[in-house]
Amino acid sequence: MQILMATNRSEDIFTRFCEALRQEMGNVELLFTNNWTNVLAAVKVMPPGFVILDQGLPEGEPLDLVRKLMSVNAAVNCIVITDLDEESFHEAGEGLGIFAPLPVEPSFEDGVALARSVNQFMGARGWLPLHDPEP
Amino acid sequence: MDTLIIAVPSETPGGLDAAVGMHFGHCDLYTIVEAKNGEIVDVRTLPNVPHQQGGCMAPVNHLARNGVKVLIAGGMGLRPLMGFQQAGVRVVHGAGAPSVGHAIQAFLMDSLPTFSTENTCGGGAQH
Repeated sequence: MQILMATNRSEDIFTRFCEALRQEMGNVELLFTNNWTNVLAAVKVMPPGFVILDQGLPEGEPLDLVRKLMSVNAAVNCIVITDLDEESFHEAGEGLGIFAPLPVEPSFEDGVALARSVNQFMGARGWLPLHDPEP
Repeated sequence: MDTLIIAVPSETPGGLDAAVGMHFGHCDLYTIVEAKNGEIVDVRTLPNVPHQQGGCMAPVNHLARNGVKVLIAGGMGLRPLMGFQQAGVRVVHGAGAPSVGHAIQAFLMDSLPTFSTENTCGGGAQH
């Protein structure tokens, strides 16, 4: 499964987070881009399993990109990096079906938690990681 | 004219006398009505699928797979609305109908407006 991450920051910030995703999910391919156009094109032509949308992209805020994405392909699952607290984020993202929020600097532990949520979600749809993740 | 399959989120036990479920994704079941030439020809119920985190598209796919072409809804988010549009399911706004049967009749009389993004949760509407 592919996960597309849209960020304008250095990939190094996400190194440990991505390690956790690979550890827990096994057959995950992590792709990076830094603008809305590439995300919208990917979702239209070759939709990844999930997209992770960071703050700071030049075209606008991640929730605005989610709204654009929904008009292209509502089946895509969105994860949003945010500095909003839980209640504010819930209100801001209401109705958008955001899979999960992530903190601005997602950690290894955040990656583990997200991967397990993804595995559980996808498992209900018949998708399983290639290997048994660490307990 | 072909048979049209209409779904209405419903409170248990469903059927034309049941109350309309206020939010399509969280209702227990749907009342499924088949109509032809403006007349109801069949009424049955369809259980909803479990709602899970990020799973807004599950009921969309569920209804589309069951041949539904029209959904009468009181409230839903932008994502499922876009999903229904992309799946070829027309969504109309039926909030306030006293029963499923009233909502169906209103639709068959062509008096329900198309559900727009302005009606979605987070789009200014309450549900």
